Amino acid sequence: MIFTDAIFFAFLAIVFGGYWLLKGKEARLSLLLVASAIFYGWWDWRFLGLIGFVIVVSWAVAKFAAARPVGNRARRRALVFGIVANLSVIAIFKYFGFFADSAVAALNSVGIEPGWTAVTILLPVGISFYVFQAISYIVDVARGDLEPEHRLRRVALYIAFFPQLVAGPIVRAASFFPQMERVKTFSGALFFAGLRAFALGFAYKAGIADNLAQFVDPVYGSAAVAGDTDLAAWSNMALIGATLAFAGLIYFDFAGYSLMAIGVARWFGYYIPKNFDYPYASPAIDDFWRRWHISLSSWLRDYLYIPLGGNRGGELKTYRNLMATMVLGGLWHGAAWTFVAWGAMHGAALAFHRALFKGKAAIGFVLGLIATQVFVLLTWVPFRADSFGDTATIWWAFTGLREGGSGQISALVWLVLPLIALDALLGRGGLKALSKWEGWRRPSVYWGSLGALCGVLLALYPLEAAPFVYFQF
Amino acid sequence: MHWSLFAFAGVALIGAHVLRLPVAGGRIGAIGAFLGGLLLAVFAVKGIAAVSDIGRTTDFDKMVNAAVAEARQDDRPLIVFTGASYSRNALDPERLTIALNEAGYGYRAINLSIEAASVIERDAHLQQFMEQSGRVPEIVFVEVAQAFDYRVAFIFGNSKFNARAIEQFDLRTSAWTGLGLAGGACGTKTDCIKDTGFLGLHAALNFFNVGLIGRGERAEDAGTLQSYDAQFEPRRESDPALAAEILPVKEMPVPQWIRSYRGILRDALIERGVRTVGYYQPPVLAPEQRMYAQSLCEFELAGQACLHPNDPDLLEPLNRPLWLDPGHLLDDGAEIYTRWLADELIESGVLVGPQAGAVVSAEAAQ
Repeated sequence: MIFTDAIFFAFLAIVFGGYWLLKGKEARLSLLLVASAIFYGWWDWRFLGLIGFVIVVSWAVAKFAAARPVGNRARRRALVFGIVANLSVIAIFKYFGFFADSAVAALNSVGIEPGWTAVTILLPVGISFYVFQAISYIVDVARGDLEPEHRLRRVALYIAFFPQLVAGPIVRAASFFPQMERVKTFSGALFFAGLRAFALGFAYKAGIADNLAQFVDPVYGSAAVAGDTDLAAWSNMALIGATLAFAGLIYFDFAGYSLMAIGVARWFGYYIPKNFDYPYASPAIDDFWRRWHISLSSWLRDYLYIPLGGNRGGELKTYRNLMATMVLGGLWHGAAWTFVAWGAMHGAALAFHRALFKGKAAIGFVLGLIATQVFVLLTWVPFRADSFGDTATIWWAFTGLREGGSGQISALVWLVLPLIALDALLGRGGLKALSKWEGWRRPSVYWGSLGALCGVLLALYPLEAAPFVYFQF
Repeated sequence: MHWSLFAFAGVALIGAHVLRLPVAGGRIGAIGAFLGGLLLAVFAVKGIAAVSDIGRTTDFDKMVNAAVAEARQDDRPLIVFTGASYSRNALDPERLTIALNEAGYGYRAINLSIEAASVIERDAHLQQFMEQSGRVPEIVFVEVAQAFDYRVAFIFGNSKFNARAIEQFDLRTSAWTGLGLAGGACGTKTDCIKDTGFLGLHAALNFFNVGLIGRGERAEDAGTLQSYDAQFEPRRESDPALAAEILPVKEMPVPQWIRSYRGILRDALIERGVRTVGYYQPPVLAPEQRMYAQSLCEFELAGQACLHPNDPDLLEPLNRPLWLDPGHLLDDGAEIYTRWLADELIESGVLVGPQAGAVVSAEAAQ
């Protein structure tokens, strides 16, 4: 069940109707929890046990830790146990095969045949997101930054809240718990705020991202199947065009999901902070990371970079911490060395930028924008490619020196650029006369344009809806 | 993919970005404005799709493209077969062309068959073939089968909510299908309820252009796919002995809608320049289904060119493991059927010839 499926709309209508018909806060929380279980179980009900384990461990550890004074050894041990238990879930379900395969490859390279092969474990959808939420809750409580929640149901809803369960944004307990206690009343403002976010997210995902897959998949191959493409058959322009399309696809796909999650949460009276802030308009790499997947970037900053020492131990240690944070951030995206390389490149770029400009955009907006976005585009190659060999082939194509095949993709792919530019201009106030025109709020104009938007989105709707890219992470 | 995808995506971005909290207003006005905006967008999309000649392309478009490419390279008169999966697995147009040519009939056979294609869908694609190729077949053979006559919306048993299912339910197809459903041509009562619901949904999805721009492209740009789908490994265990069983023929009830539709289709094709419209059914194992086709040939379609498979000369050689499943032939079975079909076409007298100078060798035909 994904947000663009007809079945999701039926599910949402039932839960939405039931939620606002119920009067009591507790009943509403229960309904949301049941709905979240149905939503998650729709993929594979067996993994409800897994998320249940994460919830119970996090709830119990936080409770145990909070009962002991800050600095107490048992409290620290509880924290370590909670983190290890949660990370074990990811380690087993997401990384076991990766590390086992890597170990086999390493042994093979020194002439040792281990005689065993790793088993393939099904990746539970959203595991990286809800485990990170659980860890942040345990750490916040153990640090003394947050009061523990004694009621299991509330911890369960915090970790499993269905709008953002499978692909974020990663929400902090400190912002979510108070919202559960607030008495909510339905209002037009709440509904229209949700609708605005959802409609924009739907336009991103169903209107743009899913249609861009037509450019990407034939060249890069299916994201789910390794080695199912022959890059040699494609021309250099086809490889460049497909990479450009992927840059558009991943942004509109993930930002679209995040916006829809924000919109759906809003309809239930919950506020989830934004996850993207037009990152392709960033003139510097550090600015890009303040605008791309904001909830993950801030999580990595607060729970990895700062605990590692942040920028407190001098420049070299800062660079080391940046690299470590980004490498682990890369690995978070997927169990493959190409993701590690992607993270390492961004870590190196952040360190380089810091060393060179001390955090300031010193080369001007336009040059900075071009340099940053070309770098981001090039680093999407290992992120999407099956292997380092494919990555090298595509990078070589960017130089124009590669002797390419005859395969072409439509030149229409270049129209991704004006779409991204239009989106950023509208979102960042570059077209104020259009986006801020008060006339849009007149009822006839509002409802007329909403109707027209629905008509256009129906025509753009992908008949073979693709799952969100970030579901696999 | 068509440029309008990006144009509409841009419009959608603007539309979504400018949605800000509206000031309060009347409900009737809001509903009216919403519907007005929706219909404006719907007809704008329809207009651009029509002008740009784009639609939701499917495998059938690819088959038509392959057939058009063949027809454009070949001056010989065309004999087109339009059917469903029975024909897709049983009728090899290359073999048929060679057999006819060797017998002195210089025709080019074309198979335009796809799985679960209703009679109405087949007609739509035959029209598309004629428009794209600029050629009118001399002879058209339309597959007949009880399942399709008795269930006007047979497509829903095979595909739903995809490009093919949505694309075909335009106003004309929806009206004919509705007529068939109203006449009871929908199988069991449960099927009738389901098909009526699916028809309504698909007609609505078609009207609202769902996926038309996202999936839209010119049919000519969809690529090519050969219709004949040779099969070499049995998919399901079948009892080939059933092939030998021939039931005594009796007049079978035929829904009025399909009688009407067949008549209208025949008249329209002949008006367009098709010399002969005939009917056929590839062999299936179920004796009742073969008897139905024979019944059509001897009653409703008496006087028309009509080739039913209840012929011992065809069925006897098929009483062997030549079956993909009870309804479809493996390639060796298809070879037997195609040879038999060539003989039947010649015997039926629908072909013109032998034509001097039109006889080509097997190599040349390939």
